[in-house]
Amino acid sequence: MSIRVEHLTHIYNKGLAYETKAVDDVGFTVEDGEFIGIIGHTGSGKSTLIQHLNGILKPESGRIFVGDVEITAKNIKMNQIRKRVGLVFQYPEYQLFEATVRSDVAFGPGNLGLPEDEIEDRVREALRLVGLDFSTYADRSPFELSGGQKRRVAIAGVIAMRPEVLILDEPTAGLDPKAHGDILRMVRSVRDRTSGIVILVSHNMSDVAEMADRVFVMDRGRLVRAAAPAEVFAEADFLRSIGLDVPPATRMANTLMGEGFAPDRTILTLGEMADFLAGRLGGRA
Amino acid sequence: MKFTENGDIIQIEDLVFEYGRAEAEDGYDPHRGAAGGAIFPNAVDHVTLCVARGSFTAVIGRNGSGKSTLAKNLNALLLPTGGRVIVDGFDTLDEAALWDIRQRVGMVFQNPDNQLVSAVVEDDVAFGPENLGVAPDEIRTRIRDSLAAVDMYEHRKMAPHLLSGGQKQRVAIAGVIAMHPEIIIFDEPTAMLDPEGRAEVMGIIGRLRKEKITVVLITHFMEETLDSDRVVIMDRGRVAMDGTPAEIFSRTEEIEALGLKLPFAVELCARLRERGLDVPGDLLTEDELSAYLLTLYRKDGFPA
Amino acid sequence: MIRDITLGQYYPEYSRIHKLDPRLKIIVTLVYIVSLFLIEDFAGYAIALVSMGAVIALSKVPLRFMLRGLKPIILIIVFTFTLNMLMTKGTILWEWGFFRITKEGLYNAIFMAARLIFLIVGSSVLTLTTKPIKLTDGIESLLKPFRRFGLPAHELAMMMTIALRFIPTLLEETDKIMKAQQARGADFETGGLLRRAKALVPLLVPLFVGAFRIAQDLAMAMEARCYRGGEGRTKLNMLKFRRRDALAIGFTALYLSGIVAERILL
Repeated sequence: MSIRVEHLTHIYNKGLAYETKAVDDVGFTVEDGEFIGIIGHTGSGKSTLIQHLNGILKPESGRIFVGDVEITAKNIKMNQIRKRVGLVFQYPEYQLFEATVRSDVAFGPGNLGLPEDEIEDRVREALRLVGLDFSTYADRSPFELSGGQKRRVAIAGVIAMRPEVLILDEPTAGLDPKAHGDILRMVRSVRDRTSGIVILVSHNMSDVAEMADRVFVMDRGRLVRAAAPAEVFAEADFLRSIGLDVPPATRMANTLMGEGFAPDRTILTLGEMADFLAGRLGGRA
Repeated sequence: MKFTENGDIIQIEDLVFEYGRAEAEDGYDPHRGAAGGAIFPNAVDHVTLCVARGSFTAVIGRNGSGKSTLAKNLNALLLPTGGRVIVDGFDTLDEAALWDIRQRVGMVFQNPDNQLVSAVVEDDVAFGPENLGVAPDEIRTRIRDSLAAVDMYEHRKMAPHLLSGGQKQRVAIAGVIAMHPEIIIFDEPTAMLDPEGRAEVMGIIGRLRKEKITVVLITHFMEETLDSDRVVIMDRGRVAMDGTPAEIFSRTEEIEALGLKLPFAVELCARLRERGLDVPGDLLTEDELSAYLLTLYRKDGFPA
Repeated sequence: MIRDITLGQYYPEYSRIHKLDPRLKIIVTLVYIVSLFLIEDFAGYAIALVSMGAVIALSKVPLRFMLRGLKPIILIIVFTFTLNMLMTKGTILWEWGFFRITKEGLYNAIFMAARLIFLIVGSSVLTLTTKPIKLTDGIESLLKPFRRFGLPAHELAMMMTIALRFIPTLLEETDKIMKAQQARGADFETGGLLRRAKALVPLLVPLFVGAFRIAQDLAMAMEARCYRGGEGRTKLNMLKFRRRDALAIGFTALYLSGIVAERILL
């Protein structure tokens, strides 16, 4: 399955003095199994864009195809979209409402009108995928879990709908370093298991550089770059001009670059930097 | 009653604080405390700590390690169940000193939305001084000075819900500055901000330091601790490590064992050391590491 | 976007009316409302019309903003008008089966509708020219004398202040939760009454939890900033009575004597 977006435009407060083009003539294609990272300054239109991909927002103009289904078509059934495209909002733990973890995760599949035993299977699978033991957590109240655990329950609630496209809006915001790492590992393992499309919106350049196949850069509603991380993060000055940055490893490589330190490719991660330095310094430092 | 002062503006003596089971904010998983008993998350378990006047102390630790609880004991939002806390000579258990303590110890919280009281920026900054009974003319002066200190004076007539996260936090800081505190405690002030907002808030903290205000910063971002005078690591309600950033981050294995992440440059140096390279242990920031590599290069030249 | 809904209906402008002391504006509005019930004929309305026209002109608020306040009650006005027109006995002007319109009925209908319109437009002047926060200050100050009878003037005003601050936040929160549940297939739009009511649970539970979280955070933040109720508190915006306020009192007195004189003399 693939996603195709054509000339997508969304306007807030149309016709009022303060109308804003939150998404401005955006077009792209995402291939089956791709991992996309979206970066952009706050207010650049990232959140507005992804809310179109599962039909929560309707565009002013433009079309979106998920697989062979046009989800911007007039007569489309919302459930047809939502079982294909799962969207995890920022701070998703604030949407939990059921008395037990089990029933909260079951809310999405239940809305799809699935039979009970199928729902039960999906709840078990989703909790396993987010790394929560079913027998320990299923009957506990989601409100008495830790912050990181609550978030995993909320993500399980979306995964249980078995979407072919999983979109996560800053899934690690506000977590401690350990929980941050846990969530990212979880996203990776979900992708490995389902081999669907994953779209990750993030402010953390290192995470995006490390995980994404391609990086989409948003600026004032427009999609200004869509390329491999090495290519996008090679343009440090451009990124800074739109309020973004490069990962620390890339930043450091750029500092050293002027001094004849040139690596043969863009360094993105700490591991690559370590490899490069160890190779060059080879026991002489 | 005021205690005699020494150089320490905060003296925490054998502080114990336990939430009732129902009050524990972050779940009910009791884990074993150092003393062997079951410790509920967020509790503080026999902590003794002093903070020097005018210093910048960073407190880090996992969620539920008791950092925030410790912070709330410093301005009498929570009162010790054991031991005591003395702030600028006032004991937090002394009820008569409550308002003196809260005026001296300002606090900036994590959620930028939930700590602004008024629908107009300048009215919000006025809230603290109004509570202290400061005269209206003096409040005007304080609003001007404190909003200018965080570069928000031009936004003084705005409604907070129209500001960015970083701007809201700066208004919150101005509200605290307007009370003329000696100490400002920041409880994860950047956790909910984007990188730009984070840089704004850290810039302001840097300025407060120059003004000789004592700063206690609780954070999850290791990079934010590198400029501090001292880093305290909390774990299960206890102080697990305490020292200068250089001292703390030279103990890489211990930090990782506590479930924390190393700052970028420190982790890179550690990886290089693993590969047998002899990198000095006091390099904390990217800039320091880059500078070191460049001197090395200028001395011998890198092999191609 | 939901966050752009403006609260109340304040119209920002720097007019003489905007600058008046909010306490005075509240009292004048009350006087004006009472005066409308003193009026017995159209000559009285002429005085009210001229006076209100002058105030609106001075306030620099466009007339269409003033009239916008009538929209929600247009049905009530039409209803009042029709009822008065059809139910009053007198000289018949027009008759069709059961329906008959009398001269007195028409007069009454126009009279009552005019009173309603004057009432609504007049009180809109208050909310359109006074910031909600000033209105709060004004109410607190006016209620102060009643504190000795146990009326919690400061607490009421503080509640209004906080409500003004947090309504946009809660609206935003509602919007977010609604979208998040829709993403999980929740349907708030179709089905019968019972189904729709049930569908609100996934919205209301997180909303209440969120509201309590905000309340808890805010209470802590207020305490940390030394809040301890109204005792010993100063106010940044001390309401000050100025020359223009005295002038306004003069005009109001003039207006009221005009209305009373008209009633007695004509």
